[in-house]
Amino acid sequence: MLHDRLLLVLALAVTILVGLAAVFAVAAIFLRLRNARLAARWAALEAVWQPLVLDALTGGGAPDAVAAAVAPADAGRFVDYLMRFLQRLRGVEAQRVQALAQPHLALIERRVRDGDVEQRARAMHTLGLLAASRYAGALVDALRDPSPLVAMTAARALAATGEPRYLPELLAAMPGFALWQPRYLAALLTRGRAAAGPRLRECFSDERQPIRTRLVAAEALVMLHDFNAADAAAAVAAAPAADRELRAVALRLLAAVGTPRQHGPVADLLAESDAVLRGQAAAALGALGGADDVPRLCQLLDDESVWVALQAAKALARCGGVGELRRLAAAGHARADLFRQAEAEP
Amino acid sequence: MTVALAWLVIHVFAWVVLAYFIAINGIYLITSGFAFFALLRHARRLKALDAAQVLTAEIAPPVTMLAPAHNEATTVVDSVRSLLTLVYPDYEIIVINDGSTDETLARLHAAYALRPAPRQATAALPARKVRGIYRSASHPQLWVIDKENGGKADALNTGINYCLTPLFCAMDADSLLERDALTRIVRPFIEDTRVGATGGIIRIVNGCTVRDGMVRAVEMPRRWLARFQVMEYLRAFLSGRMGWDALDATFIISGAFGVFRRELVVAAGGYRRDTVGEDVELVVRLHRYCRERKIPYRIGFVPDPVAWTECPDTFAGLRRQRDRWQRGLTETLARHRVMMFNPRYGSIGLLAYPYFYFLEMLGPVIEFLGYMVFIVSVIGGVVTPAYALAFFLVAFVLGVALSFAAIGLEELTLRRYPRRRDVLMLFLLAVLENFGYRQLVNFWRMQGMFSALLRRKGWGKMTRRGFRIVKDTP
Repeated sequence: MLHDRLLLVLALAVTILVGLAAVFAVAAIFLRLRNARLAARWAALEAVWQPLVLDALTGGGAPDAVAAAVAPADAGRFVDYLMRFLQRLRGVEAQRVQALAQPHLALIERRVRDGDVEQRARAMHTLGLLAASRYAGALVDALRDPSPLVAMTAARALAATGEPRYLPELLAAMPGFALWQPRYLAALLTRGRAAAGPRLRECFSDERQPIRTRLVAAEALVMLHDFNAADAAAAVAAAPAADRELRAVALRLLAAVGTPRQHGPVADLLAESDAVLRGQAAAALGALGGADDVPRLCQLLDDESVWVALQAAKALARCGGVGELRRLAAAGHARADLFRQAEAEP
Repeated sequence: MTVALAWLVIHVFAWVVLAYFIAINGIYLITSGFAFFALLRHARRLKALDAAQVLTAEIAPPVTMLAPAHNEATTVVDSVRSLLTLVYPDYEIIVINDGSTDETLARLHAAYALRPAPRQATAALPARKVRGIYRSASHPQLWVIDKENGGKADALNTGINYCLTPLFCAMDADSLLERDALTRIVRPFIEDTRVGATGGIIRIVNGCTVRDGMVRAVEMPRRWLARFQVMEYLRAFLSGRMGWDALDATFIISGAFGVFRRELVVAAGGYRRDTVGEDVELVVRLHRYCRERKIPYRIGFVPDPVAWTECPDTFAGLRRQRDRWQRGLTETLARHRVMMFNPRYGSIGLLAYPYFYFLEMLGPVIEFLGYMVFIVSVIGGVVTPAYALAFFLVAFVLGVALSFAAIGLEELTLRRYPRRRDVLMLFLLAVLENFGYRQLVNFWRMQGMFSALLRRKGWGKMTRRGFRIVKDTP
């Protein structure tokens, strides 16, 4: 009796599992066929669109002819197709691509309101590339979206416009991107090139701003090689109470844009207790210093941190201390390989 | 009475075996479910972020590719050529010649114009002596470190000791990375500064067309042994690792392709040289290191960066490989027993560790004994053939369903097999592997576990055929 019941249970389990396996098999086959069908359909559509779009981009074809070739159900796909052109085009041709997309953006706009997280993010990305001016308000609002993905795509779209007027909004949104790499965030802020400088300097120097935001602003100033930020960088680097990472970026900024006026504060930082700051100070001195700095840089060649020693060796090579590096290497210094390596680097 | 008791024990054990089959495959099905949603979300996220545009030259963190090589003369030049064509703004390559006794170093010298060059060690992870350091005159981003033989972990430690970049990529010397693989696997480090390590997907290159260090056409292998491994890898990566990643419990990053934060690995002590499972041991130790020190971190798996690798296509080669993998897993699990069901280690201690301990490590033993028990039970008349068949069918169909789910995941997102017959072959493999292949592999895994308990060492040897022989059509 028990045996029969157990057999029945097993038979039932096998039946259910066979059904499950069949469902998975059918799903896999369905996906395969669907993907193949979609790929063929998109290839056929794109074969129709391509000559029309290329004509319109060269100014020879009418945008109306392109619009007429796009069925309402294919609008989303057509917009994605146009996005591929935007990755390669600039100037007048890019504007023509954006013009071709305009009749179909209502669908994308609906996704901003009604879509799930990924759909909204993709919609933000699309509207930002194709019609940033028209949808600037929505993009700025999206910087405060509860989804980090949506906020980031909006930030990228605003940054891609290169317009400095969005910089304050982007800076205000930085605390929401706390996990992202600071250099990535800084790259977003530098799209406006030199025009972004004043606002970034102001943010970097403002102690009321969140540390993270100041850090990103400092990284952006490094990328822009903003010479006007040198004094502010020296002040931050020399402030013992300032955040360590902020001071380190300030030193990297000085290495990029420092002048002899900042030489003194940088040289003082060679005695910092923090190895990261010592290393960055050595690197900055390599850019700002000269032959007079060779003795103090030589002292760092025996630093407990090999990274500090490496920075000091590279700085020595820039300050005219190559002879000293060769002498120490020839004398069999424990870090001879490091000195030769620093000398060999361009 | 004694006989009756023995039969009762056998009967109970039979149910234990069935419970094991249901547990391991059931968990795989659950992780497949998580993997399904995670893969969908991942693909849509990549599209939303326009992932190809995320990593630009000015922000890409420099990466050092560490490629340990031991007697890889047949493939090393092609492998390095493949690495030199990666699309990534700032990276260098260190090939660590681990005491090769063949022409590995000579071929690198000849192909890449190596010259002695100075390079300072920046860490002191335990490793055997370095005999020479060379830099390519033709490709300055390529370095070769020649050292005494010490094994893969030793070679990787050497590479890390000479690594100057914040990230390093640990790989096998014969791994073929897709050109955008490095860009894709580094992307999580940009999006989340807590990321300490990421693993990519490993696919089998046997049967594929490889030219100039790149996979040009994807096809199924010709040999059945390699074909079964294709199915295994699909399950392992798409259902397994993607699912565990969705649970924030990535337990393994393949030694063939993973990127790590140098500083974190050095702080944790680098690779252990006293295990053949140095890849899994490092990842588990990184989890332990970060959690014990309450360091915010993330170790994950990313399904879009792909590395292709040659799998063993002989019984001897596959046996050695599976023996070694199981030994490595056993050694790692024994070493980090403190994590078992320990809430201090979060999802790793509560979910991943027990799964790998009871189901992946002990599983082969249970399965092997289960087969023995069934045979004895049927012969002894304890169970009827119908009963035994039903038992077998439950385990068999569950395994097949799991494989079908993996094929579905492949078609959902990655779709690497363009030929219809290759996909049909996958369905066939999902069924056939249960009639011999699975049992054989489990037997070898069981041997591996006992080898670990008996503290047997060594990697064994895999004969490399070389990519030129894989298939080359004009």
